[in-house]
Amino acid sequence: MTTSPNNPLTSSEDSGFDEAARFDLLTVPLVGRLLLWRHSRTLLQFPVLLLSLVMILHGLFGPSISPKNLATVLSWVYFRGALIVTLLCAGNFFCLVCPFMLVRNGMRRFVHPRVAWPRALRNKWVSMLLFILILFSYERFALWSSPWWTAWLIVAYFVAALAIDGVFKHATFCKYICPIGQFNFIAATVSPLEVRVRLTSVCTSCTTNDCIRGRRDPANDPVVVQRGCELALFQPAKAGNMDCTFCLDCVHACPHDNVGVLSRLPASELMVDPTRSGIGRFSRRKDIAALAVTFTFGALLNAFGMVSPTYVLENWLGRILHLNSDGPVLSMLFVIFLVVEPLVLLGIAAWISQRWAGVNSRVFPLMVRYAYALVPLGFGMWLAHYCFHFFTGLYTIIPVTQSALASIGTSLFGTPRWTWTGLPTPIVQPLEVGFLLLGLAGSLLVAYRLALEDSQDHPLRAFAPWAAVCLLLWAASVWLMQQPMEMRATFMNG
Amino acid sequence: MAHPGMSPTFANAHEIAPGRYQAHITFSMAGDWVLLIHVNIPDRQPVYAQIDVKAVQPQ
Repeated sequence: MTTSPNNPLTSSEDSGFDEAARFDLLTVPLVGRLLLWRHSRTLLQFPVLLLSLVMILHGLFGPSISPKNLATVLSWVYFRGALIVTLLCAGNFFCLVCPFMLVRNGMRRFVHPRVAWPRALRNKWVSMLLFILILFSYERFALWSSPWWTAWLIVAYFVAALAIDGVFKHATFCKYICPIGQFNFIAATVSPLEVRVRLTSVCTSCTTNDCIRGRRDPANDPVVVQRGCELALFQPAKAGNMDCTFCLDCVHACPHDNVGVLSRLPASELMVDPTRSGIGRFSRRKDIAALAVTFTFGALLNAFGMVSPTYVLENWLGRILHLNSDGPVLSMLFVIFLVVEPLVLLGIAAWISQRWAGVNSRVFPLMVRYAYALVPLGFGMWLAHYCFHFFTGLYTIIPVTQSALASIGTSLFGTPRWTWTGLPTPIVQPLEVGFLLLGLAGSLLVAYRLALEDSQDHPLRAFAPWAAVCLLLWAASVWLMQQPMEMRATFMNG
Repeated sequence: MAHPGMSPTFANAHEIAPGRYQAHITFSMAGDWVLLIHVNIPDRQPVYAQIDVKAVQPQ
């Protein structure tokens, strides 16, 4: 297997755009000016924090019926939909407005942790397991149908962020713990915007490295007046969106005004394998590859949990294994879909690719390398799924808000219009197919670029097994989205 | 439907015998549903009731 030179994404050829001709969000009137304001993040986080508090209160004390509660409607219809659409159209702006970090930043004014996160845990394994735990809990405890549990989940996020970042320094929670953050990091690899240096030549003459060290007080050097990247991403060597929360600390810290929010070819960072600041090479990060696999196969599993055939399969599994409770059967499905199936599919593809195309690599490293090619496909599935709920429930916020206001005695917005739901399913379904096709095209393109690098003599042979895996997963996705939806709070025996 | 954002179904109940009311509801999808019954009685407070309908089977 051949590897790319260091950080090829900094060259215009590999990123797909001329360095000086890129679109830069920070140069857009009003938006750019707002984002360049030092307190812009706090300003944007504050309304989201207020919304989170409203969701917690309504979840705990509001109606117990999920479609009538702000906690569940905002979490499972709006938040997820807006998140994935923002990642598709722009970048990881949901981490930018993260309310947990606003509270955590407030705490850090008084608490200054000195403890470093244990070296053995400086990877994605813990956060990946937490991500799986969230997916599992979503199905097992029907979080979508429980405002009370949804509210406690939000509370748990706040507590975890404060506890972790209250003890450990830097952005430990974001980088190593937060499951939503990991989802955003992986998904943002296909986003069209990236926080990166405007001109690499400016960085070569920089001597202060404020983008990572933070800008110091000229009169008192140890005092940081503007922090640098807390996730250990050194801008000149940063490649792609992995681990970037779009916090814009580097933008504010750079004394040369040389960091922007620039356009790029979506998923281009998956086509190359440079040494990335704060990350290393993707091909050597088994944990991130496993996260990418979980992201992709988890997208199918999450959608599978809400269609009718699921219940048939679970009841059948329960019968043949003599199990009559949800937990063990659901656990088994998770192991099959998130461990066995990926290992088998990727293993077979890697083995064929190695043998048939003569790729000079062992099977497991090949599996790790090509796992990233599946990300666009997974993204397409998350997009199709979340947009289904987002668009078909687009107007539900209106009656739910009317109802919430009425419950506290405010009839300003009239009686709830429960007939207002969203776009008709026949309009949304073609969009879903389009999103899935977009994901397939992205994955095929990434796999082909990797195959071109791996086997110059037989690139099509190296590519074909991975294309087959992509087509198989895509067909499964299309089949899933055509199934009649069925949402039950319990899986087995009705 | 118990999932937020899904389309609700509405129906009016009609008296079929003294004190007995009947409504026809089409469950548009399988899964868990919640029936919310809203009764308006002249000159009295409205009456509300909730009935959970579990595991509606696919048609």
